[in-house]
Amino acid sequence: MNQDQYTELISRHGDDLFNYASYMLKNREDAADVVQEVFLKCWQNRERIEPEKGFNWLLRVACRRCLDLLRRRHRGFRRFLSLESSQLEQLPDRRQNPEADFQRREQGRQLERALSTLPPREQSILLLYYFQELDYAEIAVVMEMKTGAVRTSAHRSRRRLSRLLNDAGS
Amino acid sequence: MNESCQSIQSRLRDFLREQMPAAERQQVQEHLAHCGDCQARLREEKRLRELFASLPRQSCPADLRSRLEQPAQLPLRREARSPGRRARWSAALSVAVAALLVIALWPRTPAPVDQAESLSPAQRNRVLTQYHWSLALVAAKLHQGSAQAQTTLTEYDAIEIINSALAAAAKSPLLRQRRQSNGG
Repeated sequence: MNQDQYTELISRHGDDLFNYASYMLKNREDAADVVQEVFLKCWQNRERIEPEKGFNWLLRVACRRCLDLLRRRHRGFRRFLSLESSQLEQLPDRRQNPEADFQRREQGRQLERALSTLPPREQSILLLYYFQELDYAEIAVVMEMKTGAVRTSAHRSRRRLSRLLNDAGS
Repeated sequence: MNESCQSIQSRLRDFLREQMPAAERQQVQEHLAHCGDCQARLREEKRLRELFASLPRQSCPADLRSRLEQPAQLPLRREARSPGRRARWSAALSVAVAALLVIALWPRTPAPVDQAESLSPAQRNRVLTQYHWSLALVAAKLHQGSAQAQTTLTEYDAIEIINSALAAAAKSPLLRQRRQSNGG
């Protein structure tokens, strides 16, 4: 991978990576740290990263790092530090969609709350599946799992998430 | 769930994205027309897709992006600022301070609540819980200060801090003595 391909990765996938880390860690500063660390590793390993697999490589390293950070936080706290709703409202929405109204934000908040009660690996699978729109085989590569295990886990977490959302009245 | 349902459900995502050949789409529609399980699964899939689509998509901060574009200038140290380590230290500090507060503020003389025989055990517990809770809030504030307000605390974190603090304080001989003299 050369400098241009590296820069291309930043412009094409920088936001995706930042979003993934933000929703996993519920904290913008920590997410920015992870993204910086991941891109630095990418640059250091550019000789052996195939450009077309660059995004999966970045996600794999980001996923590993986020899970590691969440594990460490979990040792100290029972729950993960949460992004306050007020903070969420201030986040710039890059879609600039005029229909980004109260109802959508409220739905997003409910989803975030429900999602944050799932184990980190399940959160990651659902975010990669529904938010990043990866398929099971791609998630398996990113999360270093077998495709079948991803499918089973996705099924289980989807059910749990739906139950939580039903309980929350979403 | 039979094999046919499994096959249909694995294709629901493509069905919703309208990314499947017409013949295959027709096949899925025919199955859905008479299968309640798959209809329910389709509704669930649709709802989750809509909910995830409602999450705000953020842009990578401009200063971060410009730093990334100059990789040679990125800090080489792997963990320039480790949130994990910071969180652990600040949690440990909060627990230690809260434990000291529990010992220092534990009533030196029997508190009214301890003497009020008219209070039911539930009322008594409630008052004590409020007392512990105010300590938890102090610990939580300290934690936020030590974490440089970069993170926020959930009530669960505060509960965890106070539980750890109470467990640590309970081992203190000073507190044991005071509780015995209070009869509580």
